[in-house]
Amino acid sequence: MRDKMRLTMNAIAENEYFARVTVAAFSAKMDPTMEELSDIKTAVSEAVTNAVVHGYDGKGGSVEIRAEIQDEWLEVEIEDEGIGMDDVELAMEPLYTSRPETNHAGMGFTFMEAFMDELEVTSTSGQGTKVKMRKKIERPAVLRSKKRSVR
Amino acid sequence: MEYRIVRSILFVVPGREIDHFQAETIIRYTEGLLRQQCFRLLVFDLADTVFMDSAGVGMMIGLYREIRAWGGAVYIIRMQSGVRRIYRMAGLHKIIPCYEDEAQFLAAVEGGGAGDER
Repeated sequence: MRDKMRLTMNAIAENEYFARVTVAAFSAKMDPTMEELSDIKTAVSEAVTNAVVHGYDGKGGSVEIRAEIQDEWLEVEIEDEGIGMDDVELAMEPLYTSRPETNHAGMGFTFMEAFMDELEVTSTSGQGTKVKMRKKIERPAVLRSKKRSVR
Repeated sequence: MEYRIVRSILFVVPGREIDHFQAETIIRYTEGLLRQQCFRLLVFDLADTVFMDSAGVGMMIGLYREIRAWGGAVYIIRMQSGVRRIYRMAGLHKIIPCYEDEAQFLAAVEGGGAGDER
């Protein structure tokens, strides 16, 4: 089975809900379990929230979401043209937050990594960030290997 | 989002999904209420909550810090399975105990088995 979707939307907090339910609805044809659907929603929500809060600092901009189904693999890319990150590796550390004074748990990337099978983050300071995540949806569920690469 | 106050306990009912957008609103209102009335017990009633991401975790930790300032404590009741995964993974169980329902929570608090009041 092959299919793809593309969605461009304003990077505003109200759209975090829209983004995650859209990708979840798109992936529904892969017949995921409730838990897998929840994994996808959480990971998308984290990436889009990062774009809204960090990429654009709440000032708005544009986020592009691309999702693709290739047989049992779902691939989701979430890209912004915001401020980017100087140190991707540091940003991905569990509990790291660039704004400790706010109500940020510093767990966004940790959840993306935990709920998807692969996570790749590319960021250029001043130019934006791209998060690429892949998840295998198959039955019966087998033990999944995790890969992570940072560029 | 809804609130109810029972025997000086502030119950917050966040609604179906706690993401960054919802969390900001909940934090704003709850902080206001906490500061106004210095509640010692804050309870999240998650009966209807089916989704929570790291912003919800941040919200709970933030409000926990707030209420700790005057020796208060935070609890969760009626947590659903989807949220429970996040709760565990984030280690929230170490600071925010969870009870099955309101009756069990009240029994624990009144029986002295809960709360952090010295």
